[in-house]
Amino acid sequence: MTDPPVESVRVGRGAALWSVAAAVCMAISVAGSYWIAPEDVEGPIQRLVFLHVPIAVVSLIAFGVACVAGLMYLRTRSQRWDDIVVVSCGLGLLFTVLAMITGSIWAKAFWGTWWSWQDARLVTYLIIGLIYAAFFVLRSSSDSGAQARFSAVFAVVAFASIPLSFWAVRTAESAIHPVALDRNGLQMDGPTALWFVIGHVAMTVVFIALLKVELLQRQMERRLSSIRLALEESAQ
Amino acid sequence: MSRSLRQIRALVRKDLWLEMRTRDTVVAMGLFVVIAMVILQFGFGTRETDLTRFAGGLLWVPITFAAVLGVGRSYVAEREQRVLDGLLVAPTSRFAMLIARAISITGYLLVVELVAIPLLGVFFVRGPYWGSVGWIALAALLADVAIGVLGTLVASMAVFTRARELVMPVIFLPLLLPVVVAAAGATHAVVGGHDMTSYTRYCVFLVGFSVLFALVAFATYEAVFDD
Amino acid sequence: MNDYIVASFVVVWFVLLMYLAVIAMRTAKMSREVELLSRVLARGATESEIPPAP
Repeated sequence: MTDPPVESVRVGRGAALWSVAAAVCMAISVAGSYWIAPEDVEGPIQRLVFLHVPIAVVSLIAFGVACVAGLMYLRTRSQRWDDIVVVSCGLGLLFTVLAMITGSIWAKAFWGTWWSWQDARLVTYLIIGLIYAAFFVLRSSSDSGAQARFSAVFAVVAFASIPLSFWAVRTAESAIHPVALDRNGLQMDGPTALWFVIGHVAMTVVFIALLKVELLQRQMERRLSSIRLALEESAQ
Repeated sequence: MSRSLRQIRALVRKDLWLEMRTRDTVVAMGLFVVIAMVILQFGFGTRETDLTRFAGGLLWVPITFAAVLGVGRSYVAEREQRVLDGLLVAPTSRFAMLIARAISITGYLLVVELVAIPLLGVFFVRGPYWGSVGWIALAALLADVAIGVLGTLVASMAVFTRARELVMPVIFLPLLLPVVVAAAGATHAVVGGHDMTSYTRYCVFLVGFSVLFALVAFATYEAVFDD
Repeated sequence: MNDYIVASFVVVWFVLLMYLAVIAMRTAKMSREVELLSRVLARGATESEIPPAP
């Protein structure tokens, strides 16, 4: 409850600016990947790559951010880092679910089935999604004293298990199918690669904007409850 | 170094001695594995005698769930009889505590597999089986170490939550999925056929898993306990 | 084929907008609380003629 100096009236500017940037980037990326990007030999369905892959990559970035924030929390024990751990894990989980849904639509369009246990990425994302869903079970049933510590430790443990999940599923896949189904092996020419990169940038900016907005909200909630506490004390 | 080794030995002896006296955990875990195998057989709804195709699942589904029970169980004394307070006050390093507990859990699981692996051959596999028991046991040992390291780390958080019986499996099992993939894969590789390349790959994975999570535990385990 | 792409975009946008709805709900909750606190403050000021302790 330390009173921040006057410049704290600028609090929240970052969130607003990032949100504007996210809207602009998304508009450009969607328009570009839907109308402008050249069509591939695989036909129109290939345009899903511009949406699906960035979402998947950003979910991994979010989990990475959560892991780093977890380590920082364990070192500094500052509430800010705990906020970042929770919000980042939540956003990562959201993007993981979106990646699974779009991946599933891809599978339907490509192989005619909504779910394929042979698609290593789809299966790995399922495992990762389950792990990070468990994060919230652990967090919600921890005592308030241990909550932030356990969250931080679990964020680190869960992030470590992401490459392991990929490794395990890949090993199993190569044992069953010598030739891996690889959807990113497609060759990209210049313009396609450009829109691919723009898609990643746009989705990352969306992630940062959502992160900022929710961090701001958590900060506000805490300020508010400290104000209420102060008022209750002064009323007595 | 030798000091922490002595600490680990003392802690493992404490766990094993408690278990020898009561035999609570291991007997129940073994029985649980047998029951789970029977449930799987009926759940499949088949009266085939040869289930070699499902050997990996029939072995590792019961063992995974038994591991959850055993890991949760192994912290009961710590929590209820306040053993943990004593250990935390004593000048033992937290990492030594983790290693010791991981060794004990690995020990429990090995005893359980002493029942489970032969039973798999008797109940479900009609092809050549007994020749590959050694390979299965080796993969099982590696998987047990992985389960022990991960389980200790996870359980030491889960047992201090409110709905711990429920939280424990929900956070432990997803993290364990890669181990299940590899352990079942290794079992299939040697039971179904004799695919030593993929068997080796799975074993390398299991070792890598244990090493990586030992590092993670080393980095974070102190934080689990400081109050 | 195009249906699948449109469906993906719709799903992604729908989920993101639902996320926005959750944020909006939490903002609404906070604004209710602010409203309540400001009323408490106003009442305290009129009743005792002295502002509450800082």
